[in-house]
Amino acid sequence: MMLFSETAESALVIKGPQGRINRAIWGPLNRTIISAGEDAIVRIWDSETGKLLKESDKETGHKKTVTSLSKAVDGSHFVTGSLDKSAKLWDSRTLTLIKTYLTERPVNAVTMSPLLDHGQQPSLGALKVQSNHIHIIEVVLGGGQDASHVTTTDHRAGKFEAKFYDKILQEEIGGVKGHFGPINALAFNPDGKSFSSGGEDGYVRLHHFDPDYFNVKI
Amino acid sequence: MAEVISMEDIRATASTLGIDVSNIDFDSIRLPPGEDFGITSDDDLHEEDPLEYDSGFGNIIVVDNLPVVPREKFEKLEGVVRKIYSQIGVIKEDGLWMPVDSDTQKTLGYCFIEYNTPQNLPCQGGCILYTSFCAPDCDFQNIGYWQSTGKCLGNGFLLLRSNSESKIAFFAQGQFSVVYGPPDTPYDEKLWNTIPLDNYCKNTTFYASFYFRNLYYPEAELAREKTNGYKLDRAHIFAVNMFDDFDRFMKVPDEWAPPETKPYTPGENLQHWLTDEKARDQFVIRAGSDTEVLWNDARHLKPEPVYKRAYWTESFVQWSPLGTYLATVHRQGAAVWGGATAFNRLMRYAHPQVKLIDFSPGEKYLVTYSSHEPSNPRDTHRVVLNVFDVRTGKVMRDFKGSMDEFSVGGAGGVSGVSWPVFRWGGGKEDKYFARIGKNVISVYETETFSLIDKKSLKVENVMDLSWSPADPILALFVPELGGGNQPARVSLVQIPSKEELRQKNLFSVSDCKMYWQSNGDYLAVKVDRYTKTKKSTYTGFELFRIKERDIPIEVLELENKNDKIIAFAWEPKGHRFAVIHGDSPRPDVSFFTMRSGSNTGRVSKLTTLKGKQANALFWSPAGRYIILAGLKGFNGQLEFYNVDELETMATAEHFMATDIEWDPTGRYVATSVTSVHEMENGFNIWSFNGKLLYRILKDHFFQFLWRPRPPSFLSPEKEEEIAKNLKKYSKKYEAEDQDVSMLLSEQDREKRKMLKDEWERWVNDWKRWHEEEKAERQRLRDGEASDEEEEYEAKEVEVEELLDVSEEVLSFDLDQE
Repeated sequence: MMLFSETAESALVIKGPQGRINRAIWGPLNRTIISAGEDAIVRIWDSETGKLLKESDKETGHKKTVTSLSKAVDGSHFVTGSLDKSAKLWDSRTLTLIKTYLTERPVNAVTMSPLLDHGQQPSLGALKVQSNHIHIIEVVLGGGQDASHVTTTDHRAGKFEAKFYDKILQEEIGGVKGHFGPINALAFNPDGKSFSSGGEDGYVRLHHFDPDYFNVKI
Repeated sequence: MAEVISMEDIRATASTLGIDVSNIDFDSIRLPPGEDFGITSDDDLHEEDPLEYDSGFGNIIVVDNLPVVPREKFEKLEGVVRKIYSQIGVIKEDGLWMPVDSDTQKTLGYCFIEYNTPQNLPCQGGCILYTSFCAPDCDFQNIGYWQSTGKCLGNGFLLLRSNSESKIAFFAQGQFSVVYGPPDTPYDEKLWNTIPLDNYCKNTTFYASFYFRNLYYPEAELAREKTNGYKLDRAHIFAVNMFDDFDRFMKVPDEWAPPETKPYTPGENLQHWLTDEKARDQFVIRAGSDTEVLWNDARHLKPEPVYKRAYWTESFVQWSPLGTYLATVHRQGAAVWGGATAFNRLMRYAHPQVKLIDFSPGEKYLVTYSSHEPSNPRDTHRVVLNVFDVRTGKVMRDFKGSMDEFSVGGAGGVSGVSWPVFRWGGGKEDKYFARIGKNVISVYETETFSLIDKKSLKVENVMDLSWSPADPILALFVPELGGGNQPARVSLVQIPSKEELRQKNLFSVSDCKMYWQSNGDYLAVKVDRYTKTKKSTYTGFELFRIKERDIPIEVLELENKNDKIIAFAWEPKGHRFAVIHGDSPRPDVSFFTMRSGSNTGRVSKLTTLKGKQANALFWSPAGRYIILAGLKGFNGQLEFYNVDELETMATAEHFMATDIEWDPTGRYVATSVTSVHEMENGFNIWSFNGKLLYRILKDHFFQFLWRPRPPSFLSPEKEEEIAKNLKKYSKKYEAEDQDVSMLLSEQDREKRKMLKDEWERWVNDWKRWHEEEKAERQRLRDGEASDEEEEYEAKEVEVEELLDVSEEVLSFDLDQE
């Protein structure tokens, strides 16, 4: 992992983790860097010295490659998705595991709704938003099916579906189908009213939430 | 023969190698392949090694009744004997020894022959299955394949030898450690008596299951079997025995000692699960290496664990037909488990390399089957069948022979016999079992375990047999003979009288299948006939009314004679049947009844459902309801259908479902996706009317089996009475259901509240930190004060609200101080 200064020279090189690092984000106050990748371990590094500060626990952490990592809008927590068919929510400061979301499929991409933070109930125009949504995408397969293999699979068998989980209750609340290949990327519109997904099938799909979505109550 | 070496010896051995055993951290020692850390293989050491072992004499036979010959003829005789015995297997070098009387220089009339123990079978003798080795995070391939050296070192230590590398390892108290690397130490037998069968320890770096089996010498055994009684000439008939048997029989005391009468100790209540207060049913599932028995707690919408065990079986599990026992299958034989509180092992049935098992319907007997590779590849496989008494574990009868003798009617050849080889009949009394042979039906009775009337039933060219589920009646199918001169025929034979009750001749038949109704009231024979051109076939049914006088037969043909029959199923205990017919992907489903209105003697159609995505039929064991299922190619379509009302109750889908099983009461249905596919593995539980109750996902899901129940003690009249007054009886249960549902929603609410509170606490903690870092953030932002972005000015108001919340927290802090 390399940090670059404005002059495009690397300011800091951090070495250590085995395999590819799939995601790295800045921690609070830019004092730390949070990384995760093929070795399934989430790490927090000191962004000044490159020293390893914290490591996720083997028991509670991911068991397989972390494919995706996404920060909450306020940076207080982040969510990771892994091929071990789970997504996990962590405290950005302490790397405490807060939540685990279990699914049937390896998770390729993961993101969180920007609207629904901290259990407050912000009003957005006329919309009243009540729930905390985490948004998980999951894709086909137990253990490394590559894209060429996917084409031979029934698209329903693949379950190329974006799944929604309640962030706090850890329960699945819905799903959006459509892609006929694994979904590799996901992002919420910053206004929280729509989201987009990018798939192996070569499409980017924009989805707008129904009014019902903002009134989901479980 | 398992020699036990004391710890002293280990220490002595270790100290000669410069290892202080007491300081060894077994976890830390793991040598990379090919690396021996300078502890080289030492042949001298090997020779004085206390690990020398005793190989046993299991592969030696003694041939008696040889001619006594003088010196001149010695070589000739030896040549003859060698020729006979090397046909059966490879005689070990110097493995033929014919002793000579030192006085007379004549032979003594007997000789010893030792066979090579074949090396190609990986599990010859006591050994450990490599698959049984498992480490939580470790691929077992990395550990390699280890064989027991046969050395049990006491204290639970066992010495292992690697197959691929020259290494010796300890397995002790669940820790597996490579210690040093030389000798080619062979293994020993009978270890599975010295070491507990499932000696695996959890929570350690490695754990392993030990499965040892008795040594089995196919060649020596085969030689004894084949040549005992061999006539060399009239005066010399070979008497061949296993060398080990001499020892064994010599030990038998000459005087008979009366057996000790043991005081009676009542056993466990094996029917205990039937007394469940909530009247739930159990099921067993197998996923990965775990086998687990669970209650189906439909009220709580989840299964409740009963008993779980890793490596419980080596291939599959099976309930006995009345649910009393759970059978597991191992290298060395089968075992049954059961009991009131946990699943204890009740009995073991030794049968090396057992492949298949089958209980008799009344679960008195267990039939086990194995096939063994012949030493000569041109020969067919050898088949061994044992019939055990389930309760005593005694072998009641064994059957041995070549695969050909046992594969009539089935596929035959290497692929195996059609299972079960022995079909049990005569209802639940387990009185008779029958086997189909070439042109014969052999019916045995369990009183003597011999053929009825000491002879088989001769039926030329018989292809299939099927017992009535309730009565000792056999249905036989004989195909056409003599190019159509002799018609095909289905006949019903009464046992034990062997009297033919009814017979039906059939013409231009290509195939026949027989379906009994569960009470033995009706028999349906599906007959595929050639059309006149002989190019295609069409299907009809012959329906036998077994319980009526003279057994009338009725012919049923579908409206469209050319429809293919995809599935057929009788309603259990009922008088109706369902047929899926027509062409995929949208065949039709028809229902027929054997009793129509006042005219009870005629079959009539109830209805036809057009264009259903179904290829399998699953009647509820209580009748009335049926699931029309589209398995495999149809992706798991399910239609829950009420045949009384002729209406669909629900349609659903369990995507990719491979198996469907009703619980024994007909209240619930399990659909499962087994590891035929690698995805979606797990099972769903549905109510009888198609409501999905819960869904469990398990990777590498192999089996789902409901625990069967014995038949009810209630008389049919009583059952009818209950059905009539169901309202009265159901009140109590409805109230219970309501209580549970209240409790559940209450628990659910509490859990959610707890989760929300927890989150709230975390958020507040975070905010406190966040507030403390405010100045620092401002500095990073070059003095910009707001944490919020410009566009959300309106939100500033809310931040004020937040500050209110923060103040509460602060006041809380003040309280603390």
